[in-house]
Amino acid sequence: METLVCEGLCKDYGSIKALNHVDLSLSEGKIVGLLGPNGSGKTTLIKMASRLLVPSAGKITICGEVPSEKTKAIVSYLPDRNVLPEYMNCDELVQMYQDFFSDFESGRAYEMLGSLDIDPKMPLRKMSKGTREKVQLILTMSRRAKLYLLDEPIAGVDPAARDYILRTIISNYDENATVLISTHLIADVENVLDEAIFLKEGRIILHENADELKEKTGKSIDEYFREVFAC
Amino acid sequence: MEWKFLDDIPIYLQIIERIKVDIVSGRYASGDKLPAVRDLATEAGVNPNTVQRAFQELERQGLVQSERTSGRYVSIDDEKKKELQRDLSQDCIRKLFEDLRNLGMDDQMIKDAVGKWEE
Amino acid sequence: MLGKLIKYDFKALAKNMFPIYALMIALTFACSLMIRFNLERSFVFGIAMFAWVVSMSSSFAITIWMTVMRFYHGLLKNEGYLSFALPVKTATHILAKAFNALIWAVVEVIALGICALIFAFTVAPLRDLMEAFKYFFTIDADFYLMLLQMALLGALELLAGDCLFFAAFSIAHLFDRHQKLIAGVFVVLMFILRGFLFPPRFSMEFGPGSEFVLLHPLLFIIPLALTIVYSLVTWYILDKKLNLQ
Repeated sequence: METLVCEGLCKDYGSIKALNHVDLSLSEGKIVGLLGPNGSGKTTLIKMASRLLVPSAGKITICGEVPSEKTKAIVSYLPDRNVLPEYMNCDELVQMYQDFFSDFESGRAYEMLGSLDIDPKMPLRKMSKGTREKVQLILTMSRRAKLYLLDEPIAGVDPAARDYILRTIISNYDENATVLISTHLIADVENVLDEAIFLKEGRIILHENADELKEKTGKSIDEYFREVFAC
Repeated sequence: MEWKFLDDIPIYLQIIERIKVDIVSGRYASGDKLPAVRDLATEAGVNPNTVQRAFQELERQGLVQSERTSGRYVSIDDEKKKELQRDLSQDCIRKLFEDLRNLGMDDQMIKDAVGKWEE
Repeated sequence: MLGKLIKYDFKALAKNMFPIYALMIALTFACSLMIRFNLERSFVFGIAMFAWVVSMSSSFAITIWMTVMRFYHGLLKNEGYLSFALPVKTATHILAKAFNALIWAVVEVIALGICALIFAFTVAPLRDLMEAFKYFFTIDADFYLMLLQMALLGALELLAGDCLFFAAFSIAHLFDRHQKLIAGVFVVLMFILRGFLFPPRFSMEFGPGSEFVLLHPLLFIIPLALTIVYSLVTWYILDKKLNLQ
């Protein structure tokens, strides 16, 4: 079954075409890399799937439904910035996720918070930026969602944190779910991917199975990406 | 155990290779349980489907048996283990020859060098 | 879902507002005590009195501003990414913010009431208080009817004001920069427009006259209509044009 489908999806910002007739179909049980340089439209696509932006033209559906409060119940979204209220602590945030998302498992959240020695009573404002990012990831991955939208989860973190983040994603996503990871750091994620999408100037120029792409090109996805996007 | 992968070989093949080496070296004995797909994927930092593919291939080659409920077990007799050892060693020798030929040695020189080799 | 949203909005503001009210009440108590013990001439009293007047007079503005900022930060800034990821309808979000504004207005009135009681009980002799208490029972029912209408009118005007700010910030969020300035300009324009369409003189004519125990319905209808219009504008922008950057 298709988790995310885009048909002729467009998004304009004035005269700038952030997304230009994107056709895309993601099936369940896959980890998909949304790969492209900064400004290629990755975040725009993810925001439209989470209904933070409304398409200029075309259609986007999640499990057959146009984004709405219904799809939000099955989509777990990790934005590309810290969005958790800084005046709250982890206990309050876990309670809040529990209150709003029926697929949230607080036991898993506490297990992960505990393994990082994060004090659930400490307000976020007193945490380092990196810790806050991890809390946000833990909350996102503690849901049993149908679609995970992870916008730049590993941008600007050190290698140890990057490993932690990727492992958290692998060990927590629901196996019937689709995970869409947007990033411009291809080398770091390519071993994790089932499929790779190359996004260039708002258009999809490639969407292939990761193993097949490697076998066909005889290169790592990172190498091939550099070749395609060479300026 | 650290997992490091080469860029130019599909990862599932590298996982298969690694498990075969573990079987031949005795790290996995016949009847030992393999880790769960998700656990191995997390440990190695790779996609669970990749691990799944590697396990299926190992099953197809008859080195691993899966019990529907309890997981996957190594299943190998001594004869088959010898065969596997031979296969893996052939790969090493082939690679050794390729490398040494690259250094300009002919096959006779290589054999002599290996014969005289003391660690 | 509406109840849960209101709960979290209330909690978010409680951390800021309760200390302000606590300070206001403490200042009231301090000033009352000093008056009671005839310390009005001390320098400390001057400062306390000044702080008290400032806190009392600004608390209402602070309450309104904080509820408007809860809307702005909770929905249109970074926290909006989280709010709009919740499986909640846009209309429910807006309703929650409006209820939150009303609830805090009530809390504000309660806090002011507590201040008044503290002041009265500390300063006035008990005998005077008893007299005042008896007096309340002699007041004509019309007075209470009027009080009720004024409270309703106040709540409606407050809602209209809050929803005007919600609409203003929603419109402003469509622009990349100077959002607070744009929102401010919009609010001023709307005030001028309202003054032009429904001049205050017009309100006075139908206001509490000697013969009217009931206020003119238009006094209620105008803020109600404005509340609806501003809410619809806000809903349309947040639901159809949302543009979180």
